[in-house]
Amino acid sequence: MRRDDTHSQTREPAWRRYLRFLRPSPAADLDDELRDHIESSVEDLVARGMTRDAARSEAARRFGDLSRVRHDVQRLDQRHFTRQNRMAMLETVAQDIRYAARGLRRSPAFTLVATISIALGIAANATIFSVVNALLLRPIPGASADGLVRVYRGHHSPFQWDEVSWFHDHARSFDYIIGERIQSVSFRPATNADGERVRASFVTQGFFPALGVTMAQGRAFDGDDRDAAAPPVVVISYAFWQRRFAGDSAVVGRRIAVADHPLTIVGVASPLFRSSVLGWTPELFIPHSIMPVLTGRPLAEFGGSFYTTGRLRRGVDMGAGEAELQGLTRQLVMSDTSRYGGMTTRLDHIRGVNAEDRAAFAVGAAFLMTMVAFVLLIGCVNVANMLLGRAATRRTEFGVRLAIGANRIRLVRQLLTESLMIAAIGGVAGFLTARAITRALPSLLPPEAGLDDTFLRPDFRVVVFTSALCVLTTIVFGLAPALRAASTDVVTMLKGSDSRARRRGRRGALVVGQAALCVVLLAVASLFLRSLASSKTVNPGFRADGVIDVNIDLALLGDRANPPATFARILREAAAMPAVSSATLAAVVPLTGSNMESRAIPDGAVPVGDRRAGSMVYFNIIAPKFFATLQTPILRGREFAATDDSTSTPVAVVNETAARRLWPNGDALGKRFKWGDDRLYQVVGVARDANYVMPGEAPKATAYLPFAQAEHRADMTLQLRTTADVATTRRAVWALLRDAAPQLPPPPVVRMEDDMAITLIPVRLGAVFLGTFGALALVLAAAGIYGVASYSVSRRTREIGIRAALGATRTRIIAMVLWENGRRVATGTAIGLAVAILIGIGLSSILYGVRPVDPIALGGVVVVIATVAAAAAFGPARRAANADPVRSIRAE
Amino acid sequence: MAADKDVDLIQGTLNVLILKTLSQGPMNGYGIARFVREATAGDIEVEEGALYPALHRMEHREWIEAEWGVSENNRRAKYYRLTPLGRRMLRARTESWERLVDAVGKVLYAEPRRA
Repeated sequence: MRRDDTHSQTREPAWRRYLRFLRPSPAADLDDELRDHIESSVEDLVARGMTRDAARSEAARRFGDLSRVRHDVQRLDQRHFTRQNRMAMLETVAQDIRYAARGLRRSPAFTLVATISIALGIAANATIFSVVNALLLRPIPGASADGLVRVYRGHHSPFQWDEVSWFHDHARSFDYIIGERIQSVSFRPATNADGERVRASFVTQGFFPALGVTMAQGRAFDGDDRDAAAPPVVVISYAFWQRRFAGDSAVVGRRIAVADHPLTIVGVASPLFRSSVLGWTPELFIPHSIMPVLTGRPLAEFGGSFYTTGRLRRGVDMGAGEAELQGLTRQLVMSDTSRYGGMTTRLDHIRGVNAEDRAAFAVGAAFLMTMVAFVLLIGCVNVANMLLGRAATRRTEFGVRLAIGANRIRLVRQLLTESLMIAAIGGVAGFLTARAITRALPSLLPPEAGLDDTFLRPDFRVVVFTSALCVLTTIVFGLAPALRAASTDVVTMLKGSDSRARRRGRRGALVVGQAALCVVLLAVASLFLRSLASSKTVNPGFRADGVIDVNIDLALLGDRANPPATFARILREAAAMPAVSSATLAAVVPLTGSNMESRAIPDGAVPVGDRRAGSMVYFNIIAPKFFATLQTPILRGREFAATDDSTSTPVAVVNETAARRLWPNGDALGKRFKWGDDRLYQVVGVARDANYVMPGEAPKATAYLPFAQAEHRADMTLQLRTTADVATTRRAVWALLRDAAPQLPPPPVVRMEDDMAITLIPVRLGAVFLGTFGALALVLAAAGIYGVASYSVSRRTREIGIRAALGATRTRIIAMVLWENGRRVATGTAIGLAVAILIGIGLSSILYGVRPVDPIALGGVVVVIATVAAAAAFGPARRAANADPVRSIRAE
Repeated sequence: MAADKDVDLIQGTLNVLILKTLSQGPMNGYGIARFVREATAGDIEVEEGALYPALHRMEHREWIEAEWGVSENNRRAKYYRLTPLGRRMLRARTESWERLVDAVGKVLYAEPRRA
């Protein structure tokens, strides 16, 4: 065997030995070393008189286990070389970093402009990604995300409480299944103190442990809290604890009044936790079993309003959990087909907003992410441009280094290190900027949006995203210039001249690209701004100015309210207030984000084929004088009167579109239709179309039903047309309500126009964001255009000198430079406008009052970009014209 | 390096023998082993299984350096030589060896003490 070992060494193919001349081979060296040992030993033994064969076996015997020695030493060597390589690598990286830092320090102006270009782009991207993260990616803040899933009825609906508890009691794949429903309630810190309207979540058993929410004070609910006989309890949110109790630790055990029932505070939830549903910010958490006591209505009346969350048992995957819930659903359906017929259940991951909103948010997110990517891209182009210019001036340096034997890969790596440093500095600056912006952003939104300053806070996902973006930007702006710099022929480099015109052309293309991206951003931004402006002038079909809204929710009073009588009294007294010319009630204030929709079936209509009879119609429940108060004309017939009450014939007013749609072949007036229940409503009036969901929308079929004939509604908005201001009206209404509804917390009193502001949030946010991005893009593009124009002038110094010598005037030279630059910008602008028009078409559902090809918006953009481009190129142009022709010609 | 500690005495002794041997001049592994055997008249037999790991380890630590040469019989042979660092190590190790021998000797030949 040993013989084999030595033998195998001689069998090594001869050519492999020559490899050693190319690179050291530790294994072969070791073999040689050991063979030398054995041969020396053999020679010694032969010299002492042994035969060669005997000497050979004796030498092998003396040596011992050759393969083992070889193995041991090889391992030692291996470890040594690995360590050495690592050290060498670290050393080169450190060298590259030192080299890059020195290079950047030596040209501070370049470093500053480059890092700012990147920082602005990264800031915009990190900001938008923080928003995307909060709305689409992040699990429930303050809860432990492990195994949490959302459970939907059908595709994305909430459940009824009894369905939630059926699942909770029977599902074995889950540790918990819990539901949460939010509504407003009245709150008093003590029984006789002044009331306040607060948001309360009614939660099913196991809510806090299911979500893994810890308590800042006190305890969560326990099993006894469900007992109807036990004293009713409440957990308050951390923010509410701070706001109403100044963080007093004695709050646990305190009794408060909710809907005028005493509840005992048992705990304060963790400061990070808001709700199991993103966007909800309840201030109180109340066991759902107390709902009937507080509201005077049985649980069954609350319908499917519990958003449901499950915590999967450890080791159970979503598929298994879903399969089990579907089985339980089938059992439920079989137990009572009339109640649960057609019910299905599905699981969904629990990130960001609920499934029903996700598609819309995802589209918005993709759109904004694209826009900010453009900003960053413009910044990258700037830096790439500067790097190309820098490479040109450093060509001699590179040439020398290559000539004295630096390798090209190393050179590329050093240049990339420099780029990575720019990206890293820009990335850190951008991230910090984004963090500051996301902290300030929620204060720009109405408080009803329920966002606090931690909502958008960047977490590790944003950090990872930003870091990845830095690496990506490095490649985008740094790779091409680095490769170019290192690939140029040494001789040309050393000579310091570069006659290839191709280079100028490619840089020109960068200007075209920048102008195109910039125009897209500016055009889209101006579409939003135009839309925002025209939303103020668009006629919604009613007049909101001079109207003041008071949202009165008698359900806050729970079982003590008598809505019909109370509302009748409020309306009567409000109409008599000085300065009020008319008063009405409405279930839905148009253009405030809420809506009601149902199917209307004309009397006598029968389903045709697969189609159901009638059509979907928006509706509203209103008191008399609604149309007078909002100044929407009644075209035919009349509006409701006090005589349309629960004892008279059910009546309705429809708008023009509903009239046309329900009775295409005749006059709507006097016709009757069915509505949800089996009653027939008679049309007594046809009103002019008015906007309902969005300002400037295509007319929506709408039907109006009288409040006095509607089933028991406790939540209505009092609308007053008045010449008095908000403050005066607020005082008067509150005084009125103190008598009419003594227990009711003072309701919000706001101008109708302010109420409507919520529908403008997407457009307003879009205008703010895109306006900012557009401005950033413009600044960055201006810097880029300036840079390329300067470069191009500097490369044409000689040509311009000759032209000047041949008699070209200053004006001609300036015009020539501006024209060269303008041509590129014009090409970019044309491309950008085309893209912007396509985007505008895509956005037409949220932009109103503007068409995608809006001459004012697009024309404005063209003027702006042309002006900025000319201004940016003017400096270099003048420099070219002022140059002394003699010196210019000699320069090269 | 910490891994060497448990064989400190033997390893350390072998190292110092190798360093001392190389202070005579460059030598290959076989030469070192033969020199030690002859110098101790065969009392110390350097095992190849310990010699080569020790040589390579000292080479990594740059106490010794190697050079490839050709032996009389035209083989590639690796000759080791002391580096300045190795020379310093030899001095330090020699001193500490002497201290150790001295200390052990004091114990071994100590007069029994009376209380």
